[in-house]
Amino acid sequence: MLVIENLYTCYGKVQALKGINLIVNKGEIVTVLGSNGAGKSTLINTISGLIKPDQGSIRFCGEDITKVPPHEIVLRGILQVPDGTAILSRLNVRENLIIGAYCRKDRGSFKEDIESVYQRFPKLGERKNQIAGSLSGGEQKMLAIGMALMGKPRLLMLDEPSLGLSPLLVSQLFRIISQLQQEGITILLVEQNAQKALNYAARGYILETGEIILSDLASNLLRNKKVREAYLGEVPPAENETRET
Amino acid sequence: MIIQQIINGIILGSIYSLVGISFTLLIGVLHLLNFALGEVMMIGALMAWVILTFTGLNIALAVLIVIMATALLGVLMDVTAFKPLRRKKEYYLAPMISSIGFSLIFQEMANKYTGGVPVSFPENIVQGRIFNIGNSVFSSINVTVLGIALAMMMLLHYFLQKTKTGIAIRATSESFRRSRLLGININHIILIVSGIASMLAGLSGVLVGLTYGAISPFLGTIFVTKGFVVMLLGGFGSVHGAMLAGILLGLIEILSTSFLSTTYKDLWTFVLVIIILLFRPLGLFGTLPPVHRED
Repeated sequence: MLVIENLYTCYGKVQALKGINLIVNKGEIVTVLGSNGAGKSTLINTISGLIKPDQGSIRFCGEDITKVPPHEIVLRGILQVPDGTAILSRLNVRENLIIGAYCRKDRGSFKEDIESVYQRFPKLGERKNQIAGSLSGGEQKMLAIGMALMGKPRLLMLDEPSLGLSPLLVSQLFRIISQLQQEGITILLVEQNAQKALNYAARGYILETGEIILSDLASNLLRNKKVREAYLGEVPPAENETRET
Repeated sequence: MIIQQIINGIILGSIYSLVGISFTLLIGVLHLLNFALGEVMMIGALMAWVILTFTGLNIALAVLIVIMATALLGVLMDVTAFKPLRRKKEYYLAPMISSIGFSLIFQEMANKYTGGVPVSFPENIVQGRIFNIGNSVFSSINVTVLGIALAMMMLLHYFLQKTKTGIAIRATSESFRRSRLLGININHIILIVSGIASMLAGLSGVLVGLTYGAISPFLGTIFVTKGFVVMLLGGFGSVHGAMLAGILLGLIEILSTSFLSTTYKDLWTFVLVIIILLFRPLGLFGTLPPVHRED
Protein backbone atom coordinates (compact mmCIF):
# COMPACT_ATOMS: atom_id res chain seq x y z
CA MET A 1 0.00 0.00 0.00
CA LEU A 2 2.76 2.41 1.03
CA VAL A 3 6.18 1.91 -0.50
CA ILE A 4 9.07 4.17 0.46
CA GLU A 5 12.33 3.83 -1.41
CA ASN A 6 15.70 5.35 -0.65
CA LEU A 7 14.26 8.43 1.07
CA TYR A 8 16.58 11.31 1.99
CA THR A 9 15.16 14.31 3.88
CA CYS A 10 16.73 17.30 5.58
CA TYR A 11 15.24 18.79 8.70
CA GLY A 12 16.52 22.33 8.71
CA LYS A 13 20.19 21.86 7.86
CA VAL A 14 20.44 18.40 9.43
CA GLN A 15 20.26 15.34 7.25
CA ALA A 16 17.43 13.68 9.17
CA LEU A 17 16.66 10.72 6.93
CA LYS A 18 19.42 8.86 5.11
CA GLY A 19 18.03 6.40 2.65
CA ILE A 20 14.91 4.98 4.22
CA ASN A 21 13.22 1.93 2.70
CA LEU A 22 9.90 0.99 4.22
CA ILE A 23 6.79 -0.89 3.19
CA VAL A 24 3.33 -0.93 4.74
CA ASN A 25 0.94 -3.58 3.45
CA LYS A 26 -2.80 -3.13 3.36
CA GLY A 27 -4.50 -3.97 6.63
CA GLU A 28 -1.45 -4.32 8.83
CA ILE A 29 -0.07 -2.37 11.74
CA VAL A 30 3.53 -1.37 11.18
CA THR A 31 5.55 0.35 13.82
CA VAL A 32 8.62 2.55 13.54
CA LEU A 33 10.63 2.67 16.75
CA GLY A 34 13.39 5.04 17.64
CA SER A 35 14.63 7.38 20.30
CA ASN A 36 14.24 11.15 20.30
CA GLY A 37 15.85 12.74 17.28
CA ALA A 38 16.07 9.49 15.34
CA GLY A 39 13.99 11.03 12.55
CA LYS A 40 10.61 9.45 13.31
CA SER A 41 8.58 12.64 13.02
CA THR A 42 10.55 13.75 9.97
CA LEU A 43 9.66 10.47 8.32
CA ILE A 44 5.96 10.82 9.05
CA ASN A 45 5.94 14.49 8.01
CA THR A 46 7.69 13.66 4.77
CA ILE A 47 5.00 11.10 3.99
CA SER A 48 2.37 13.73 4.81
CA GLY A 49 4.03 16.15 2.42
CA LEU A 50 4.85 18.79 5.03
CA ILE A 51 8.55 18.34 4.33
CA LYS A 52 9.88 17.79 0.83
CA PRO A 53 12.41 14.99 0.49
CA ASP A 54 15.72 15.58 -1.30
CA GLN A 55 15.79 12.17 -2.88
CA GLY A 56 13.86 8.96 -3.09
CA SER A 57 10.22 8.15 -3.68
CA ILE A 58 7.00 7.56 -1.78
CA ARG A 59 4.27 5.61 -3.52
CA PHE A 60 0.79 5.07 -2.19
CA CYS A 61 -1.52 2.51 -3.81
CA GLY A 62 0.73 2.50 -6.83
CA GLU A 63 0.79 6.27 -7.31
CA ASP A 64 3.81 8.47 -6.76
CA ILE A 65 3.00 11.00 -4.03
CA THR A 66 6.51 12.28 -3.41
CA LYS A 67 5.79 15.80 -4.68
CA VAL A 68 2.08 16.01 -3.84
CA PRO A 69 1.09 18.87 -1.47
CA PRO A 70 -0.14 17.94 2.03
CA HIS A 71 -3.84 18.65 1.53
CA GLU A 72 -3.95 16.40 -1.53
CA ILE A 73 -2.17 13.61 0.32
CA VAL A 74 -4.99 13.81 2.87
CA LEU A 75 -7.51 13.61 0.02
CA ARG A 76 -5.88 10.37 -1.09
CA GLY A 77 -6.55 8.85 2.31
CA ILE A 78 -3.31 9.24 4.27
CA LEU A 79 -4.15 10.92 7.56
CA GLN A 80 -1.73 11.84 10.30
CA VAL A 81 -2.44 12.32 13.97
CA PRO A 82 0.49 14.58 14.88
CA ASP A 83 2.31 14.38 18.20
CA GLY A 84 1.68 16.95 20.92
CA THR A 85 -1.40 19.11 20.40
CA ALA A 86 -3.20 17.48 17.54
CA ILE A 87 -6.54 19.21 17.94
CA LEU A 88 -7.68 22.79 17.29
CA SER A 89 -7.93 24.12 20.79
CA ARG A 90 -10.12 27.15 20.02
CA LEU A 91 -12.83 25.19 18.21
CA ASN A 92 -15.33 23.11 20.12
CA VAL A 93 -15.36 19.33 19.99
CA ARG A 94 -18.06 19.14 17.35
CA GLU A 95 -16.35 21.71 15.10
CA ASN A 96 -13.12 19.74 15.38
CA LEU A 97 -14.93 16.67 14.10
CA ILE A 98 -16.57 18.66 11.30
CA ILE A 99 -13.20 19.99 10.20
CA GLY A 100 -11.83 16.45 10.45
CA ALA A 101 -14.17 15.56 7.60
CA TYR A 102 -13.03 18.59 5.56
CA CYS A 103 -11.20 16.41 3.08
CA ARG A 104 -14.28 14.34 2.25
CA LYS A 105 -16.28 14.93 -0.87
CA ASP A 106 -19.30 12.85 0.14
CA ARG A 107 -21.76 14.42 2.52
CA GLY A 108 -24.09 11.48 2.98
CA SER A 109 -23.07 9.68 6.14
CA PHE A 110 -21.52 12.74 7.77
CA LYS A 111 -23.97 13.01 10.72
CA GLU A 112 -23.84 9.29 11.42
CA ASP A 113 -20.05 9.39 11.38
CA ILE A 114 -20.03 12.07 14.06
CA GLU A 115 -22.42 9.94 16.10
CA SER A 116 -20.23 6.88 15.67
CA VAL A 117 -17.23 8.87 16.97
CA TYR A 118 -19.32 9.83 20.02
CA GLN A 119 -20.20 6.18 20.48
CA ARG A 120 -16.60 5.12 20.30
CA PHE A 121 -15.55 7.91 22.66
CA PRO A 122 -18.54 8.67 24.92
CA LYS A 123 -16.58 11.43 26.72
CA LEU A 124 -16.48 13.43 23.50
CA GLY A 125 -20.24 13.13 23.11
CA GLU A 126 -20.75 14.51 26.59
CA ARG A 127 -18.52 17.49 25.76
CA LYS A 128 -19.41 18.15 22.16
CA ASN A 129 -20.02 21.86 22.72
CA GLN A 130 -16.98 22.36 24.91
CA ILE A 131 -13.90 24.19 23.63
CA ALA A 132 -11.39 21.49 22.72
CA GLY A 133 -8.54 23.26 24.52
CA SER A 134 -10.31 22.62 27.83
CA LEU A 135 -10.30 18.83 27.42
CA SER A 136 -7.83 16.67 29.33
CA GLY A 137 -4.77 15.29 27.56
CA GLY A 138 -6.36 11.88 27.12
CA GLU A 139 -9.60 13.33 25.79
CA GLN A 140 -7.66 15.50 23.36
CA LYS A 141 -5.88 12.42 22.04
CA MET A 142 -9.21 10.64 21.57
CA LEU A 143 -10.57 13.71 19.79
CA ALA A 144 -7.52 13.78 17.52
CA ILE A 145 -8.15 10.14 16.57
CA GLY A 146 -11.85 10.90 16.12
CA MET A 147 -10.97 13.77 13.77
CA ALA A 148 -8.78 11.48 11.71
CA LEU A 149 -11.57 8.88 11.55
CA MET A 150 -13.96 11.55 10.26
CA GLY A 151 -11.65 11.83 7.26
CA LYS A 152 -12.15 8.12 6.42
CA PRO A 153 -8.45 7.21 6.34
CA ARG A 154 -7.07 4.35 4.30
CA LEU A 155 -3.71 4.74 6.02
CA LEU A 156 -3.65 6.21 9.50
CA MET A 157 -0.31 7.48 10.76
CA LEU A 158 0.02 8.03 14.50
CA ASP A 159 2.97 10.04 15.77
CA GLU A 160 3.78 8.95 19.33
CA PRO A 161 0.15 8.66 20.40
CA SER A 162 0.99 7.26 23.84
CA LEU A 163 3.24 10.18 24.81
CA GLY A 164 2.07 11.84 28.02
CA LEU A 165 -0.82 9.45 28.65
CA SER A 166 -1.30 7.49 31.86
CA PRO A 167 -0.64 3.71 31.69
CA LEU A 168 -4.38 3.05 31.81
CA LEU A 169 -5.03 5.38 28.87
CA VAL A 170 -2.11 3.91 26.94
CA SER A 171 -3.70 0.45 27.21
CA GLN A 172 -7.03 1.88 26.13
CA LEU A 173 -5.36 3.64 23.21
CA PHE A 174 -3.74 0.46 21.93
CA ARG A 175 -7.02 -1.41 22.20
CA ILE A 176 -8.57 1.27 20.00
CA ILE A 177 -5.71 1.02 17.52
CA SER A 178 -6.19 -2.72 17.16
CA GLN A 179 -9.96 -2.15 16.84
CA LEU A 180 -9.34 0.24 13.96
CA GLN A 181 -7.14 -2.31 12.26
CA GLN A 182 -9.92 -4.89 12.53
CA GLU A 183 -12.21 -2.39 10.87
CA GLY A 184 -9.86 -2.36 7.90
CA ILE A 185 -7.67 0.70 8.47
CA THR A 186 -3.98 0.28 7.78
CA ILE A 187 -1.85 1.79 10.50
CA LEU A 188 1.66 3.22 10.64
CA LEU A 189 2.57 3.70 14.25
CA VAL A 190 5.56 5.75 15.33
CA GLU A 191 6.38 5.08 18.95
CA GLN A 192 8.84 5.24 21.80
CA ASN A 193 6.78 2.78 23.80
CA ALA A 194 8.38 -0.21 22.11
CA GLN A 195 6.83 -2.94 24.24
CA LYS A 196 3.24 -1.94 23.53
CA ALA A 197 3.86 -1.09 19.90
CA LEU A 198 5.54 -4.43 19.16
CA ASN A 199 2.78 -6.32 20.95
CA TYR A 200 0.19 -4.92 18.57
CA ALA A 201 2.16 -4.50 15.34
CA ALA A 202 2.81 -7.15 12.74
CA ARG A 203 6.17 -5.74 11.75
CA GLY A 204 8.55 -3.16 13.05
CA TYR A 205 11.39 -0.93 11.87
CA ILE A 206 14.12 0.39 14.13
CA LEU A 207 15.22 3.89 13.20
CA GLU A 208 18.51 5.30 14.46
CA THR A 209 19.95 8.68 13.42
CA GLY A 210 18.03 8.66 10.18
CA GLU A 211 18.73 5.10 9.13
CA ILE A 212 16.78 1.90 9.47
CA ILE A 213 19.13 -0.42 11.26
CA LEU A 214 16.75 -3.31 11.70
CA SER A 215 13.42 -4.46 10.32
CA ASP A 216 11.65 -7.69 11.12
CA LEU A 217 8.44 -9.26 12.32
CA ALA A 218 7.37 -7.70 15.61
CA SER A 219 7.63 -11.05 17.38
CA ASN A 220 11.25 -11.42 16.26
CA LEU A 221 12.09 -7.89 17.32
CA LEU A 222 10.65 -8.59 20.76
CA ARG A 223 13.14 -11.46 21.07
CA ASN A 224 16.08 -9.58 19.54
CA LYS A 225 18.79 -8.97 22.10
CA LYS A 226 19.77 -5.55 20.77
CA VAL A 227 16.19 -4.35 20.71
CA ARG A 228 15.56 -5.64 24.20
CA GLU A 229 18.53 -3.75 25.52
CA ALA A 230 18.03 -0.49 23.66
CA TYR A 231 14.25 -0.15 23.59
CA LEU A 232 12.72 -2.50 26.12
CA GLY A 233 14.87 -1.46 29.05
CA GLU A 234 16.57 -4.80 29.61
CA VAL A 235 19.86 -4.34 31.39
CA PRO A 236 22.67 -6.12 29.53
CA PRO A 237 24.50 -8.59 31.78
CA ALA A 238 27.96 -7.15 31.13
CA GLU A 239 26.97 -3.69 32.24
CA ASN A 240 25.29 -5.20 35.26
CA GLU A 241 28.53 -6.75 36.44
CA THR A 242 30.61 -3.65 36.03
CA ARG A 243 28.17 -1.67 38.08
CA GLU A 244 28.39 -4.14 40.94
CA THR A 245 32.14 -4.07 41.20
CA MET B 1 -31.02 64.24 22.51
CA ILE B 2 -29.18 61.47 24.32
CA ILE B 3 -30.99 58.81 22.33
CA GLN B 4 -30.06 60.57 19.12
CA GLN B 5 -26.41 60.59 20.19
CA ILE B 6 -26.47 56.95 21.18
CA ILE B 7 -27.88 55.99 17.81
CA ASN B 8 -25.33 58.14 16.00
CA GLY B 9 -22.66 56.45 18.08
CA ILE B 10 -23.89 53.02 17.07
CA ILE B 11 -23.94 53.99 13.41
CA LEU B 12 -20.37 55.31 13.49
CA GLY B 13 -19.38 52.38 15.70
CA SER B 14 -20.72 49.79 13.28
CA ILE B 15 -18.42 51.23 10.62
CA TYR B 16 -15.50 51.04 13.05
CA SER B 17 -16.47 47.43 13.73
CA LEU B 18 -16.17 46.54 10.06
CA VAL B 19 -12.72 48.16 9.83
CA GLY B 20 -11.66 46.42 13.04
CA ILE B 21 -12.85 43.04 11.79
CA SER B 22 -10.91 43.47 8.60
CA PHE B 23 -7.69 44.06 10.59
CA THR B 24 -8.51 41.26 13.01
CA LEU B 25 -9.02 38.70 10.25
CA LEU B 26 -5.64 39.38 8.69
CA ILE B 27 -3.86 39.41 12.04
CA GLY B 28 -5.66 36.28 13.17
CA VAL B 29 -5.04 34.15 10.12
CA LEU B 30 -1.91 35.63 8.55
CA HIS B 31 -0.32 37.53 11.45
CA LEU B 32 -0.30 40.41 8.99
CA LEU B 33 -0.77 44.02 9.94
CA ASN B 34 -1.92 45.54 6.67
CA PHE B 35 -1.68 49.33 6.76
CA ALA B 36 -3.09 49.58 3.25
CA LEU B 37 -6.55 48.56 4.47
CA GLY B 38 -7.15 52.22 5.32
CA GLU B 39 -6.45 53.11 1.70
CA VAL B 40 -8.64 50.26 0.50
CA MET B 41 -11.38 51.99 2.50
CA MET B 42 -10.60 55.25 0.74
CA ILE B 43 -10.60 53.52 -2.64
CA GLY B 44 -13.97 51.94 -1.83
CA ALA B 45 -15.37 55.33 -0.90
CA LEU B 46 -13.91 56.95 -4.00
CA MET B 47 -15.32 54.21 -6.25
CA ALA B 48 -18.74 54.67 -4.68
CA TRP B 49 -18.44 58.41 -5.26
CA VAL B 50 -17.60 57.85 -8.95
CA ILE B 51 -20.44 55.39 -9.39
CA LEU B 52 -23.06 57.46 -7.59
CA THR B 53 -22.00 60.76 -9.15
CA PHE B 54 -21.45 59.79 -12.76
CA THR B 55 -23.37 56.62 -13.54
CA GLY B 56 -26.72 57.07 -11.87
CA LEU B 57 -26.62 53.56 -10.43
CA ASN B 58 -28.25 53.15 -7.00
CA ILE B 59 -26.54 52.56 -3.66
CA ALA B 60 -27.14 48.80 -3.63
CA LEU B 61 -25.38 48.35 -6.96
CA ALA B 62 -22.58 50.68 -5.93
CA VAL B 63 -22.02 48.63 -2.78
CA LEU B 64 -22.00 45.41 -4.79
CA ILE B 65 -19.45 46.70 -7.29
CA VAL B 66 -17.19 48.12 -4.57
CA ILE B 67 -17.33 44.88 -2.60
CA MET B 68 -16.26 42.82 -5.57
CA ALA B 69 -13.57 45.25 -6.70
CA THR B 70 -11.98 45.65 -3.26
CA ALA B 71 -12.09 41.90 -2.59
CA LEU B 72 -10.15 41.45 -5.82
CA LEU B 73 -7.75 44.20 -4.78
CA GLY B 74 -7.08 42.37 -1.49
CA VAL B 75 -6.35 39.14 -3.33
CA LEU B 76 -4.04 40.96 -5.74
CA MET B 77 -2.11 42.61 -2.92
CA ASP B 78 -1.58 39.25 -1.29
CA VAL B 79 -0.54 37.43 -4.43
CA THR B 80 1.86 40.11 -5.64
CA ALA B 81 3.46 41.29 -2.40
CA PHE B 82 2.69 39.20 0.68
CA LYS B 83 2.65 35.66 -0.64
CA PRO B 84 6.23 35.69 -2.00
CA LEU B 85 7.42 36.96 1.41
CA ARG B 86 5.60 34.22 3.31
CA ARG B 87 7.82 31.57 1.75
CA LYS B 88 10.85 33.10 3.42
CA LYS B 89 11.63 32.31 7.02
CA GLU B 90 12.19 35.77 8.48
CA TYR B 91 9.04 37.25 7.07
CA TYR B 92 7.46 38.86 10.06
CA LEU B 93 8.00 42.56 9.47
CA ALA B 94 8.58 42.64 5.73
CA PRO B 95 4.90 42.31 4.67
CA MET B 96 3.96 45.16 7.01
CA ILE B 97 6.50 47.43 5.32
CA SER B 98 5.16 46.36 1.92
CA SER B 99 1.67 47.24 3.09
CA ILE B 100 2.87 50.75 3.99
CA GLY B 101 4.20 50.92 0.43
CA PHE B 102 0.78 50.00 -0.97
CA SER B 103 -0.83 52.52 1.32
CA LEU B 104 1.36 55.36 -0.03
CA ILE B 105 0.89 54.28 -3.64
CA PHE B 106 -2.90 54.22 -3.29
CA GLN B 107 -2.91 57.54 -1.48
CA GLU B 108 -0.82 59.25 -4.15
CA MET B 109 -2.96 57.82 -6.94
CA ALA B 110 -6.14 59.06 -5.29
CA ASN B 111 -4.53 62.39 -4.55
CA LYS B 112 -3.67 62.78 -8.22
CA TYR B 113 -7.15 61.77 -9.29
CA THR B 114 -9.06 64.09 -6.98
CA GLY B 115 -6.56 66.95 -7.12
CA GLY B 116 -5.93 66.65 -3.40
CA VAL B 117 -9.25 68.13 -2.31
CA PRO B 118 -12.15 66.31 -0.66
CA VAL B 119 -14.95 65.30 -3.02
CA SER B 120 -18.64 65.51 -2.12
CA PHE B 121 -21.33 62.97 -2.82
CA PRO B 122 -24.44 64.20 -4.67
CA GLU B 123 -26.77 65.92 -2.17
CA ASN B 124 -29.89 64.04 -3.16
CA ILE B 125 -28.22 60.74 -2.37
CA VAL B 126 -26.52 61.43 0.95
CA GLN B 127 -29.34 63.49 2.38
CA GLY B 128 -31.96 60.79 1.99
CA ARG B 129 -35.37 61.16 3.52
CA ILE B 130 -35.46 62.90 6.88
CA PHE B 131 -37.78 61.61 9.57
CA ASN B 132 -38.35 62.12 13.28
CA ILE B 133 -38.60 59.61 16.06
CA GLY B 134 -39.64 61.51 19.18
CA ASN B 135 -37.23 64.41 19.43
CA SER B 136 -34.57 62.73 17.35
CA VAL B 137 -33.95 63.41 13.67
CA PHE B 138 -32.72 60.71 11.35
CA SER B 139 -32.03 60.42 7.69
CA SER B 140 -32.86 57.33 5.69
CA ILE B 141 -29.18 57.18 4.75
CA ASN B 142 -28.23 56.60 8.41
CA VAL B 143 -30.64 53.71 8.57
CA THR B 144 -29.25 52.29 5.34
CA VAL B 145 -25.67 52.53 6.60
CA LEU B 146 -26.50 50.86 9.90
CA GLY B 147 -28.52 48.18 8.12
CA ILE B 148 -25.74 47.33 5.70
CA ALA B 149 -23.11 47.22 8.47
CA LEU B 150 -25.19 45.01 10.76
CA ALA B 151 -26.24 42.71 7.93
CA MET B 152 -22.62 42.26 6.91
CA MET B 153 -21.62 41.42 10.47
CA MET B 154 -24.40 38.85 10.83
CA LEU B 155 -23.45 37.31 7.50
CA LEU B 156 -19.83 37.12 8.61
CA HIS B 157 -20.81 35.58 11.93
CA TYR B 158 -22.84 32.90 10.19
CA PHE B 159 -20.07 32.26 7.68
CA LEU B 160 -17.33 31.86 10.29
CA GLN B 161 -19.38 29.83 12.78
CA LYS B 162 -21.48 27.57 10.63
CA THR B 163 -19.96 26.94 7.23
CA LYS B 164 -17.22 24.46 6.52
CA THR B 165 -15.01 27.14 4.97
CA GLY B 166 -15.62 29.41 7.96
CA ILE B 167 -14.54 26.73 10.41
CA ALA B 168 -11.53 26.02 8.20
CA ILE B 169 -10.59 29.71 8.43
CA ARG B 170 -10.73 29.53 12.21
CA ALA B 171 -8.69 26.32 12.13
CA THR B 172 -6.08 27.95 9.93
CA SER B 173 -5.84 30.91 12.29
CA GLU B 174 -4.78 28.49 15.00
CA SER B 175 -2.30 26.36 13.12
CA PHE B 176 -1.21 26.17 9.49
CA ARG B 177 0.42 22.83 10.08
CA ARG B 178 -2.48 21.08 11.73
CA SER B 179 -4.89 22.53 9.18
CA ARG B 180 -2.78 21.16 6.36
CA LEU B 181 -2.86 17.74 7.96
CA LEU B 182 -6.65 17.90 7.89
CA GLY B 183 -6.65 18.42 4.15
CA ILE B 184 -7.22 22.17 4.17
CA ASN B 185 -5.61 24.00 1.28
CA ILE B 186 -3.98 26.86 3.16
CA ASN B 187 -3.41 28.90 0.02
CA HIS B 188 -7.14 28.95 -0.75
CA ILE B 189 -7.96 30.00 2.80
CA ILE B 190 -5.40 32.81 2.64
CA LEU B 191 -6.91 34.12 -0.58
CA ILE B 192 -10.42 33.97 0.85
CA VAL B 193 -9.36 35.79 4.02
CA SER B 194 -7.41 38.44 2.09
CA GLY B 195 -10.46 39.01 -0.10
CA ILE B 196 -12.92 39.23 2.79
CA ALA B 197 -10.70 41.57 4.83
CA SER B 198 -10.21 43.91 1.91
CA MET B 199 -13.89 43.75 1.00
CA LEU B 200 -14.88 44.75 4.54
CA ALA B 201 -12.53 47.72 4.35
CA GLY B 202 -13.95 48.75 0.98
CA LEU B 203 -17.50 48.45 2.24
CA SER B 204 -16.79 50.49 5.35
CA GLY B 205 -15.28 53.14 3.08
CA VAL B 206 -18.57 53.41 1.18
CA LEU B 207 -20.44 53.69 4.46
CA VAL B 208 -18.10 56.45 5.68
CA GLY B 209 -18.66 58.31 2.42
CA LEU B 210 -22.43 58.02 2.71
CA THR B 211 -22.42 59.06 6.37
CA TYR B 212 -20.17 62.10 6.02
CA GLY B 213 -21.18 63.05 2.47
CA ALA B 214 -17.60 63.86 1.57
CA ILE B 215 -14.31 62.00 1.39
CA SER B 216 -10.67 62.94 1.14
CA PRO B 217 -7.78 60.94 -0.31
CA PHE B 218 -6.31 60.84 3.20
CA LEU B 219 -9.35 59.29 4.83
CA GLY B 220 -7.46 56.02 5.24
CA THR B 221 -4.91 57.38 7.69
CA ILE B 222 -7.54 58.28 10.29
CA PHE B 223 -9.36 55.01 10.00
CA VAL B 224 -6.27 52.83 10.18
CA THR B 225 -5.73 54.09 13.73
CA LYS B 226 -9.36 53.45 14.59
CA GLY B 227 -9.09 49.98 13.10
CA PHE B 228 -6.04 49.18 15.26
CA VAL B 229 -7.83 50.39 18.36
CA VAL B 230 -10.87 48.27 17.64
CA MET B 231 -8.72 45.25 16.92
CA LEU B 232 -6.74 45.68 20.14
CA LEU B 233 -9.79 46.37 22.28
CA GLY B 234 -11.62 43.43 20.80
CA GLY B 235 -8.74 41.09 21.44
CA PHE B 236 -6.34 39.57 18.94
CA GLY B 237 -8.08 37.62 16.24
CA SER B 238 -11.50 37.89 17.90
CA VAL B 239 -14.11 38.83 15.32
CA HIS B 240 -16.90 39.08 17.88
CA GLY B 241 -14.65 41.21 20.07
CA ALA B 242 -14.03 43.58 17.16
CA MET B 243 -17.77 43.89 16.51
CA LEU B 244 -18.47 44.99 20.08
CA ALA B 245 -15.31 47.07 20.43
CA GLY B 246 -16.15 49.04 17.28
CA ILE B 247 -19.58 49.97 18.51
CA LEU B 248 -18.14 50.84 21.91
CA LEU B 249 -15.55 53.12 20.31
CA GLY B 250 -18.25 54.83 18.23
CA LEU B 251 -20.34 55.46 21.32
CA ILE B 252 -17.40 56.81 23.31
CA GLU B 253 -16.47 59.19 20.51
CA ILE B 254 -19.95 60.58 19.91
CA LEU B 255 -20.85 60.84 23.58
CA SER B 256 -17.55 62.46 24.55
CA THR B 257 -18.01 64.96 21.72
CA SER B 258 -21.48 65.95 22.82
CA PHE B 259 -20.84 66.11 26.55
CA LEU B 260 -17.18 67.12 26.70
CA SER B 261 -15.29 69.06 24.07
CA THR B 262 -15.11 68.37 20.35
CA THR B 263 -11.50 69.45 20.25
CA TYR B 264 -10.38 66.57 22.40
CA LYS B 265 -12.50 63.88 20.74
CA ASP B 266 -9.63 61.54 19.96
CA LEU B 267 -7.87 62.38 23.19
CA TRP B 268 -10.69 61.01 25.36
CA THR B 269 -10.91 57.96 23.18
CA PHE B 270 -7.28 57.09 23.43
CA VAL B 271 -7.00 57.84 27.14
CA LEU B 272 -9.77 55.34 27.66
CA VAL B 273 -8.17 52.81 25.34
CA ILE B 274 -4.87 53.03 27.19
CA ILE B 275 -6.63 52.57 30.52
CA ILE B 276 -8.60 49.55 29.26
CA LEU B 277 -5.46 47.93 27.88
CA LEU B 278 -3.64 48.47 31.20
CA PHE B 279 -6.21 46.31 32.91
CA ARG B 280 -6.88 43.92 30.06
CA PRO B 281 -3.76 43.68 27.88
CA LEU B 282 -5.39 41.06 25.67
CA GLY B 283 -8.28 43.40 24.92
CA LEU B 284 -11.78 43.56 26.34
CA PHE B 285 -12.86 40.28 24.85
CA GLY B 286 -9.50 38.68 24.20
CA THR B 287 -9.08 35.50 26.16
CA LEU B 288 -6.13 34.02 24.33
CA PRO B 289 -2.74 35.54 23.57
CA PRO B 290 -1.78 35.55 19.91
CA VAL B 291 -0.89 32.00 18.97
CA HIS B 292 2.70 31.26 18.13
CA ARG B 293 2.49 29.09 15.14
CA GLU B 294 4.68 26.04 14.86
CA ASP B 295 4.96 26.09 11.10
